[in-house]
Amino acid sequence: MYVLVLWLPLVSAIISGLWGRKIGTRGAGRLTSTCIILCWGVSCIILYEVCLNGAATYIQLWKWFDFELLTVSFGLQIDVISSVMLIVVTSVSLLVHIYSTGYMKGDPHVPRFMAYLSLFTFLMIVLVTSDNYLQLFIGWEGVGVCSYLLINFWLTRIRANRAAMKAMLVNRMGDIGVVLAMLLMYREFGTLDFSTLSGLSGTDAPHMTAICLLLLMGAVGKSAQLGLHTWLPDAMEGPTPVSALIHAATMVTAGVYLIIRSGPLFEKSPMALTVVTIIGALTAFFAATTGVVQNDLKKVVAYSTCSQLGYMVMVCGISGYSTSLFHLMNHAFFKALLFLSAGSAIHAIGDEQDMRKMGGLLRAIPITYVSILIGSMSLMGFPYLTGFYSKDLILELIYGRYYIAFAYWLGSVSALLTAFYSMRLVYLTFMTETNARQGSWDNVRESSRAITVPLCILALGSIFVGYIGKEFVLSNVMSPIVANGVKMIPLLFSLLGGSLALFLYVVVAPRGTIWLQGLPIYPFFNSAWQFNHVVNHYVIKNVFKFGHKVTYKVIDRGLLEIVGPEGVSKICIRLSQKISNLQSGLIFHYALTMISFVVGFLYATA
Amino acid sequence: MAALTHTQNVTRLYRKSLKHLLSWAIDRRLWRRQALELRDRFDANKDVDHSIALKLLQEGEAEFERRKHPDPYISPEAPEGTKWERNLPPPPHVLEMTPDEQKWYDDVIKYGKK
Repeated sequence: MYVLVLWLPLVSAIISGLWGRKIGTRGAGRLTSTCIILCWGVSCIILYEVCLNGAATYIQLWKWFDFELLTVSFGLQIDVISSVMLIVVTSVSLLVHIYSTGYMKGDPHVPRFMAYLSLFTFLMIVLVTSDNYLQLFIGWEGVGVCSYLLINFWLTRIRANRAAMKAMLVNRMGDIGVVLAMLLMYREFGTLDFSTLSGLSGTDAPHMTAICLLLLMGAVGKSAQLGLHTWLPDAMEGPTPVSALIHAATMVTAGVYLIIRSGPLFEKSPMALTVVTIIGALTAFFAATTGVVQNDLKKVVAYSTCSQLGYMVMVCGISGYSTSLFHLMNHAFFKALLFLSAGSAIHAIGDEQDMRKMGGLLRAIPITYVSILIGSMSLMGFPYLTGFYSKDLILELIYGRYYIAFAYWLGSVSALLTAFYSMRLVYLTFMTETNARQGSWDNVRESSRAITVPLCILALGSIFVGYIGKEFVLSNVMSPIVANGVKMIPLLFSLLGGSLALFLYVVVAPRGTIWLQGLPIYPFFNSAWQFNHVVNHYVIKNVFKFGHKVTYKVIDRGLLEIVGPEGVSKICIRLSQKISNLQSGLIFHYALTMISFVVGFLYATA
Repeated sequence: MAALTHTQNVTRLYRKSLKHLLSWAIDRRLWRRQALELRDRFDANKDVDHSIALKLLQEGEAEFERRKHPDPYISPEAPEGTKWERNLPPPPHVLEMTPDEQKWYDDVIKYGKK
């Protein structure tokens, strides 16, 4: 039964991908959705057995390769972390599959789309159920490839091509870190198994900090943390269900999963943990400031994802792995809801994504409005909604570590900004007078059931998952004891942020002042702190120059050519010419040579 | 391409200023008031001497550069828009099509010609 969770999505991907024309659009939708429903059912049973009955399971499927120095098997390790990840992946994937049957209606390539989604689900399951780093790396790279294929789904769009290549290349930077970390782990410990490594990590390995920092590099790339985050906003080029499944709920959390899974290693390196906290806190703050001034509905949610991933990484830095996993689970539900609701609104208003051309949708699409409102409030950490249970706990745990107070304050200010952009999103999209074009507005209506049913289910998840999940994910986490005033700070900041957004857009803006126009900070935040410009201008340009002048011209076409093929051939030609000159055909030349050698020989032996 | 006339330069500056102003204002009623003020500024200088007009144009371009929106609104169907180039039909000589694809292709071409 456990193996079924792995094979069902693969089977549906193969059938839908290879025989998509035979089974048709509707057939592909039904087949893939049915397989994922079964997969979700198995995940529920696994969750029950592992989390509630405490029966962690290890299955060795086959020996992958075995030579004297390293043995790697292909196996499933299903513990609490894996089972929670499994339920997250399959739940969101199931709802996204169903949603896609409605959202992608009319697109000529639906079977291909459904095949990619299923293939992604399979590889994500490989990633979260693997029992060693090498197997995890297959899933890690596989989801990267699927992300590339899905961002580039509308492959005739140049912008989609660019975004997909950017995602692929930036992720490769992080992947190099994972590969190097695996090599170091193999050198230090001689194994790549999670269970063996967690046992061996008690020994003092000299390169533990390097291993952890390299693993962190991989996580930074995959989870879009500050420095390698630039691919995530651009990845919104893909269809909205892709954004919900891959770039909000599952693939981007793979980096966080890697840190959680490597927890025993990170615990041996306090320096790496501090770096993890710093990167997480900075990402949370940076992404929140950028999200405040975005106008594209999907980009607001994308930066919000980046910010929340920052929270997850930040809490890993203070060894709060369970809390991070809990926030990961909660975030998957409310962020998938936000993305899918955004997709529903975009779909309703003629594929318009700019919030400046929306507004007034409250009465036209009430189910979508309620969904996005619940998702936003859960994201803001509104009391007793899903986000509240993990976000507040993260900030309280961070507050308990006095030596990283900056992380607490960055996290709290990010909470304020999160509330600001959430309320701004809701106001501009639904509450203000419409600014939509006549042609778009005339056709606005609520989406089909294939779209609204997943929204309703995710809305329920965004309300209750936090309350239910804390019982089994946080069973070993002691809530820190902090003063009531401190406990209230994140909530007060959230309320302040939400109120400020409403005040600015409801009260200040209609009085005839374009208050943003004069602010020099607006272009800075809007362009994501000029990160793309800085990276392109100072890093990529110099790397290209170095690549062309040094790597290509000096090394490849210079040194290696001289020492390598060209040099060898030239030497051979010269040598052969000289040797051929010796054969002159004149008897006294040969006699002279013979005499010289004989004299030399006699002299040497004398 | 021939150089633009002064009138063309001024009308283009006016047009793009209006567009960027709408990107800032969002609300059309708010934009309307600002747009009228902008129109007044252009009208006030419409009969000035050519040398002064050139200087004013330069100043206007500089002001536009200072105050333009960093992320102006782009219609989904326009170049660089979110629907631009989505599912472009392939050129017919590239692919041998099945009857279903042929039907889809014909539909798309028919839709595009409307």
